[in-house]
Amino acid sequence: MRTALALTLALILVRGADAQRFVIGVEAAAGSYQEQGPSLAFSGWGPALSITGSWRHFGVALNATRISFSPTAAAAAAQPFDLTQFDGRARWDVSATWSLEAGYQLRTVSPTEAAQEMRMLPVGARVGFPLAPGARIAAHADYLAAARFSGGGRAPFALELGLSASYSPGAGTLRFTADFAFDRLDRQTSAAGGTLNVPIQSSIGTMGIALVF
Amino acid sequence: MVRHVRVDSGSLLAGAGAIAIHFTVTHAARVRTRIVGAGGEVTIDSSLASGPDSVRWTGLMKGARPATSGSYRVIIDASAGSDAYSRAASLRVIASPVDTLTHLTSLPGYNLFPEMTEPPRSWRPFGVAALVTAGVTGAALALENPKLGTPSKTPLLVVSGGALLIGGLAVARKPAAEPNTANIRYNNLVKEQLAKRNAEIALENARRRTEVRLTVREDKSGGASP
Repeated sequence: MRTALALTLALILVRGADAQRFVIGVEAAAGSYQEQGPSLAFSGWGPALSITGSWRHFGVALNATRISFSPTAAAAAAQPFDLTQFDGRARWDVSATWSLEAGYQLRTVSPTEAAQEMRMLPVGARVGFPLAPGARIAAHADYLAAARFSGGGRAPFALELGLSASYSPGAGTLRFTADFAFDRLDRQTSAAGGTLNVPIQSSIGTMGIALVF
Repeated sequence: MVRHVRVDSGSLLAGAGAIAIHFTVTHAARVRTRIVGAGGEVTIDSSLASGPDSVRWTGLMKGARPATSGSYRVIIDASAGSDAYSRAASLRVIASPVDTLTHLTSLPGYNLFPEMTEPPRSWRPFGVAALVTAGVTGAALALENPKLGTPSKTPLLVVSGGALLIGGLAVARKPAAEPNTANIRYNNLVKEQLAKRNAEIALENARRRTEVRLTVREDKSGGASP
């Protein structure tokens, strides 16, 4: 509900800003999630929704993803859970190729004890290349700053790598999209004996279609 | 005596061309040739002559003004001592403006080339897609935390495959037309020459509009006076 409200608000803001281009897409998402060690490994599928708007050299991208994770065969003792991720990023195109971006990412899980809920501030750069009219590929790397976890701790080393590709056949109203993001968070918690390493890494890939306005 | 006054018929630009007026003087005499008519009177020649002779009229009247349309008479006055003779011939003059040149819309023999041309099909889009995909895939694999074991590669493989497919589709897609700098430069040169030529034509037309074409023919019905 909160996600839908946020997306609606963002949509209103983006349209109010006289966006040059407005894209709304639905995707199928595949994900993998690992935490602490090989015994907590999950993979799953789910739907995703994305809204992007661009105005002059600025852009906003909002993504909502829900994936139902199940333990992999090697981690059969773990508990399945649903992950809901909300990701909002603002982009500034410093050149035709390079952009700087910053945003906010929130992950909630249900049931809450099955995995770490987290929120963080991705800050990074994106490089994109036009392949043909209506076709583009981009890569991005972000530092996941100020990561906070439901189980406590911090992640001084937290990175995200991503790949995005899109293709619009014909007049360009319809667009096929493919996006991938890999996150590694070297989470550390305080334990009686000192610091405990409880790393997290996840990857989410989405493929879908979008309408360009 | 003056005999055989005859005027060549023809067309001339007033002030630029000339028509010949022929006559014969039987004895040496001072001969004055005049044109008299609608445009006024002008003496076109005064000289000593004997036997067959001719003078040329440029179509100009007094004050170097072109003759206007109408009937004229060529009067040959010959005087020797106290003897004076005169003979005339009639002319019909038609004055008309000189044709002007039409402006050019293209230079003959020079065609403009398209300024936007489609580049040849290239594998570059697929190469770029493959490089970016390989870069991200390699970096993601290198960044994996070994303590967490081997994660599922499904998201990575699916999206990498999609990115490569998009690269392939971009290769297959008709390339977008791009500005062709060589053609643009050539067209600009042709347009410059065309503008230059049209400026010359405008100058030439301005000059021609000040000119008058005269069609002169002898009017036999006008008769001649002794």
